[in-house]
Amino acid sequence: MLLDELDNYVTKELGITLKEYRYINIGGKMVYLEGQKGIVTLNKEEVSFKLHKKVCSIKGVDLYIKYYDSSTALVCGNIISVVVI
Amino acid sequence: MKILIRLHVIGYNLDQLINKIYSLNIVCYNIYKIDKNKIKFSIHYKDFKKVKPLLKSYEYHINYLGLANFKNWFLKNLAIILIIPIALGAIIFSTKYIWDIKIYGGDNELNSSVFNILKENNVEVGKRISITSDDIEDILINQLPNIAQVSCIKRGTTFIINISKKLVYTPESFEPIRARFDGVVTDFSLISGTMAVSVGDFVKQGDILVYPFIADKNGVQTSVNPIAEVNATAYVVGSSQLAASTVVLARTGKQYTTSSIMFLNKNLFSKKSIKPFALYETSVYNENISSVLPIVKSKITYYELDYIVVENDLAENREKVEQESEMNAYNNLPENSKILDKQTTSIIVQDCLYSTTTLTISTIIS
Repeated sequence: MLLDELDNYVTKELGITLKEYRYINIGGKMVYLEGQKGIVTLNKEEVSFKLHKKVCSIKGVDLYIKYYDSSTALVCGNIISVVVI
Repeated sequence: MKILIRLHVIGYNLDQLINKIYSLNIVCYNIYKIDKNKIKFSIHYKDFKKVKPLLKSYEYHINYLGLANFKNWFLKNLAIILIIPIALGAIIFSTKYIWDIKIYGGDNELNSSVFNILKENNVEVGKRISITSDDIEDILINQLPNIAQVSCIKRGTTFIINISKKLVYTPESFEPIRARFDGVVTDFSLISGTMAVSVGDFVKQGDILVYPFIADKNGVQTSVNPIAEVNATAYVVGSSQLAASTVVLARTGKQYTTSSIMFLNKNLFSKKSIKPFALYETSVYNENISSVLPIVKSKITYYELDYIVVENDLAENREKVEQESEMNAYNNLPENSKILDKQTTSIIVQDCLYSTTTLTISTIIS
């Protein structure tokens, strides 16, 4: 119920939905990303995911994907930056 | 339960591979891009079937982790895991049966009797033993009177029977000593046996001299090998005769000689048989022509024979005839004999001279 209300709110106020991407950078060691639609780049220095009309690029050192499923990804390593372009 | 496998993939467009896996809604764990062409990641064991077609164009290795490792080992060795208990079961099952029966110590006849008795008691190749080895031993001892001892044992799938035959005493039969010549017994020395003759008895050739037994006071006879030396005065006779007129077959002096070439004992040029005289004898002389081939030159001489009446002067030939009779007597002389006397008599009966020589000898006739 709460999520539905929140969804209605952001849709009205911001023109987006909760189904859009979202990510959390946890202490620069882990990035939790939802709403991804596939890998664009994958190497130790950069991991980037396809989003809806955008790309999320995570840069860092010794990066790897800890978990990866149809919408979620968990990238670990020394995170330097997370950029959505 | 999460059963993971770790894939090491080598190839190009590895990001594309991950996206293809992603499109199959397969969860990946710990995706490491080692370099441009190498990636390693983990997936669920159950998802590997879906991923496998995607890996066709890549080189990949699989590491089974945890339970997946055990599951993989189990599936790989499933045949062995199943076969070992089955084989063990089969071996244990087959040891209950007999697959070979070996009999030692008996001859063919006894062995076949043993086999028949075993068959009657359901102890056969390919069958399970229903009675104990001790019972089989008892049966064999009772049913076969000519065996002294029997032991049965089952070694693996072989049933082994050892038989000891009874040693039956059979008294040996000995032959009596018989006279080798006619004569009068002069003396004897008896080592074993019983004398059948005494000194002064006249015996003929073949008469029993010593019996092959000894008798005790009660008259019970025991067989023994007779050993004795019996000396006797024996007589050896030789004779000869000559008629006043005799017909002999002799050569007339006529002869005929022919030659032929023989190859492998066959006449090369003529197959005719030659008979130049009504009665004849031949002498053949063969000469090898070739040292390599078996070609022989054969020279045959035919001598004519005819019956000729020869007149003999009996008085003139008397000594010769007597010598012949003596020679014949000496030819009949046995070994180790001593000549005691020699007597030659001649008589003319119906124009025929008969001469007989009798040698009186002392010899061992036993």
